Amino acid sequence: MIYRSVPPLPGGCECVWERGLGGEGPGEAGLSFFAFFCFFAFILSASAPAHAAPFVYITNERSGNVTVIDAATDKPLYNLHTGGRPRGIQVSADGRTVYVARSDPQFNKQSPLDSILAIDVAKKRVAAHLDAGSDPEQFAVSRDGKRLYITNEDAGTASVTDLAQMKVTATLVVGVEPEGVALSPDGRWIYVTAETSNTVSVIDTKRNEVVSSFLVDPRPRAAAFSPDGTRAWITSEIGGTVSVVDVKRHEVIATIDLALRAKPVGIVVSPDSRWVYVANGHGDSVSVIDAKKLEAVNVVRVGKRPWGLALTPDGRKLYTANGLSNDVSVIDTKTLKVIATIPVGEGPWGVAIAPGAGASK
Amino acid sequence: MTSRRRFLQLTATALAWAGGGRLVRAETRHLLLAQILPAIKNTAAAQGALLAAEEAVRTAELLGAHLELRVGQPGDAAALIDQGVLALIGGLDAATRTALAKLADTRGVPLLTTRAPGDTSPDEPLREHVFHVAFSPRDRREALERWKGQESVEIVDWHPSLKRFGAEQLNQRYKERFGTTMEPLAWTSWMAVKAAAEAALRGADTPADLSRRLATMSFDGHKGQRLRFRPDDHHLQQPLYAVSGGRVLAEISPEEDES
Repeated sequence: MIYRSVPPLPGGCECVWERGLGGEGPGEAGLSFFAFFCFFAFILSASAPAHAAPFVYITNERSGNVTVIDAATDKPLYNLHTGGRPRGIQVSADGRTVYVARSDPQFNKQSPLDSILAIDVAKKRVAAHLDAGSDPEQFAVSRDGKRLYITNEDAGTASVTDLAQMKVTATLVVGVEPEGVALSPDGRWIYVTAETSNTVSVIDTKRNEVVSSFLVDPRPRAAAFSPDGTRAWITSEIGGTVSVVDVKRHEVIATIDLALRAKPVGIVVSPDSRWVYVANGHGDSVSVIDAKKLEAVNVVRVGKRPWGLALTPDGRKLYTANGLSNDVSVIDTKTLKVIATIPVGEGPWGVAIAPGAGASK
Repeated sequence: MTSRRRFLQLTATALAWAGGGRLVRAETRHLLLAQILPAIKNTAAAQGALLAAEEAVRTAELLGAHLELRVGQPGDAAALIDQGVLALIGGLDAATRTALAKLADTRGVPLLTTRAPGDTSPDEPLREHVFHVAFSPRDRREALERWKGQESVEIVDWHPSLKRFGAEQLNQRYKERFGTTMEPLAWTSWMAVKAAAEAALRGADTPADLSRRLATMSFDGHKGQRLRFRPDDHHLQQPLYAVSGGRVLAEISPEEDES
């Protein structure tokens, strides 16, 4: 482990919970009661917003920073400086580290700015610069938190960065102009989209090898798995479609048409695997797909040129990074209304939400 | 690199099983395309086609297929068709274009045409198996009408200074590969091979099938909207650019078709 500091979580319950597991709490005899108490308190805290770890992180590719938003109040808290062009963003499973893919704003084959920054959330500073191959754009964190899987757009590869060694340990050939990365809920498969070859390559994380590839519609951008692990969803920006993939067979089983000129990019699936939300970059909107009917059933207007999006862990709120209006739209997923518009930095690109963040109401 | 080699071995072995017990591929498809170039070397046309071919070969490898671009002169076209090519790319000058178009329709093999810069010869009549990647005189007229009609501007299919919609990446790939900028003829040649290769990789096993797919598929040409061959004249419907003094003044986009 690289990071040892514990973030000062407001509210305390989750913090106590962690201490209890860490062996500083009651002895073994009292542990089950303590655990039960904590579990009960945790359930209570889920409905009490001030007690959740309430952070939403936005990369701003033009202003070179990350805006931290309080998910309880939907107010911006502060900015973290990254420099360069920050795009892909992920939070570690424990919520302590925010990883940001940073590249050179100038088009370069290889630049000293190319790296994945590991930001220590508690200290509000960059704790490490990780070797990420050239021009890192999107990535996924392995379930065990030990590795990053990164696309290198101009090299046409996916890099595997070992977090303990802090270096790239494998470079895999994927399609031409790789872009999106998604990890299956069981941690076994990584899907890598490639914009020019219209392919999705499947990496087996057990063997660190590309074991299969399949075609989707023109210019695939982002991929997301259903939390139940049965389906993956891939946006094709120029095709204007979402491909539905059977994860068991790594095969496209359906293609969903979105509105013309929608230009779908970012995509996320609700925790119950029932709804799929798609950011329509040129449509200035979010499409809602019914995962059972396999069709788009709603469209919500958001800010200009939404790219990345993310849901709170309870699925109640959806945040979109609107690249041209320099703000973030917050959608209540029950009413499908925009309930807040939050000013952030310039060129907001990606959204990541800490595991503990909950809905405000 | 190890994994790539391993993957190719897997696909080459007729009945290989990958992780999770899935069948990788029972047979390897061999997809053959051919570019017809004039006797006098045209570097941009050859390089654009080569870049697209190299990218398509990589894609084919990932999909467990084998793809090859053969190159010949106009006199070789019939022989290349006999060798089993799925599509021809070429016809830089009007005379060659007409001859190749007739051959394509007679033999039922798709031809994707490009044009040398400044070629303002009128279009061929609509032919079932002929598809035009470069813009037509009609496209040029319409583009000029939409953009104030200043005859002093030049209308082009592509420009090396384009950045949006992934154009910067394509321009950069080309420059790194060949050391020169991607000019319009390089782009149309790249696009022609890309379109033919995509139709082949998506399952076209015969030239006739490839023609049918070209007529209905849509393509990404790094221009920000989906590109299709118009049903009425088989010209690629695409954004064009008004250029003056080496600078792009405007992008002139057709409205995208519904459905």
